[in-house]
Amino acid sequence: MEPEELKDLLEQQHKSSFGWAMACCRRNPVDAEDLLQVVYLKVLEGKARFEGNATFKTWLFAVIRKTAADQRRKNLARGVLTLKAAQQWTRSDATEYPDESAYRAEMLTKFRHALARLSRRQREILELVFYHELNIQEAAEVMGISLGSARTHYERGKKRLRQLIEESEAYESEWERRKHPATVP
Amino acid sequence: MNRNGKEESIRQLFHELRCEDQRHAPQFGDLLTAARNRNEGSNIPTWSIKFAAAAVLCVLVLITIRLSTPVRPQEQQLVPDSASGPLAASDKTTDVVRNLSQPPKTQRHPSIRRQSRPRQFSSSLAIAMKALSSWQSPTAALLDTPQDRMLNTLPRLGESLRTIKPLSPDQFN
Repeated sequence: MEPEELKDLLEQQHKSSFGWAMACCRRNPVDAEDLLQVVYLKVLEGKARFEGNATFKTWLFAVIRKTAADQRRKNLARGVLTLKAAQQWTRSDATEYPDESAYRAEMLTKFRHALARLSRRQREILELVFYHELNIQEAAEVMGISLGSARTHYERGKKRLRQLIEESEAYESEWERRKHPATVP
Repeated sequence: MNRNGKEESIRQLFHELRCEDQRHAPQFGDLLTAARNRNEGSNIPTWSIKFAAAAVLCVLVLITIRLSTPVRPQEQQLVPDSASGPLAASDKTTDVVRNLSQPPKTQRHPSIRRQSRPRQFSSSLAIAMKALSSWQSPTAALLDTPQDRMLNTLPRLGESLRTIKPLSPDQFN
């Protein structure tokens, strides 16, 4: 495939790719940008080749996922995974979107925290299915696992996410009840 | 809220998340330019690191080869250290060992020396072994006593002890 053609395909998938890179980097936008830079170079320099066995989107997502895993390993080897990075990531949740309404921001923050509490594979398959609207077969191809395994992760992930959201809502109503004992029944 | 309703709410939350991410996604062109700049900037360090690693590897390989080559015969010690025991080696043995430890003066060319080394080594070893088998302690003379003469001779009738001559095989011929 010609570099110009590849560049066009990358551009078409850019926003989806960024979303998937965010998912692979625990929703840290700085890391997601770094990751995408590495992936784009890999693709354009021919280090990762599209053979046409899957759709371009599925293949690109698999490359992003694999590169993210490599980056994680490198970071662990270098000892870069420090408290500072963790603090930056936590802070970015609260200050990332100053323009949205308070309720929406709070809701999304809770949802991100719930997602972060899932296992990696559960989180990835839910993102691929709900966020990127892939079917489970395509998600399994991206993740490099069998269809049966992907189904299991999908079902367990959904169940666990529901539980976490319910726990969060229960905690919130309890908090409201304690805060305003007269108004909340 | 029932199960389907919950699933729908999850879908809705993911949709919200996607909208937010897409709104804050960087421009494709900017990202690509940054990636290319980063790649150009990181080319020289990567190359130099690889070169340094290769050089270190070469040096290590050379050191390993040097250490793993067999010890030359000149450097081998065939005879136990003479200072280790109370009895010193005899002059003959010492000479042989000295000859062994010194390369022959006639063999100057390295290739010739390398070819003739095993043969020279085996003949020198044979000489050394022979010398060792005939070795006698320098204090062996102290073990000789005056009674040895009497013990090594055959007494004869009519001869006094003083006139006894040592028994020699020639007198029977």
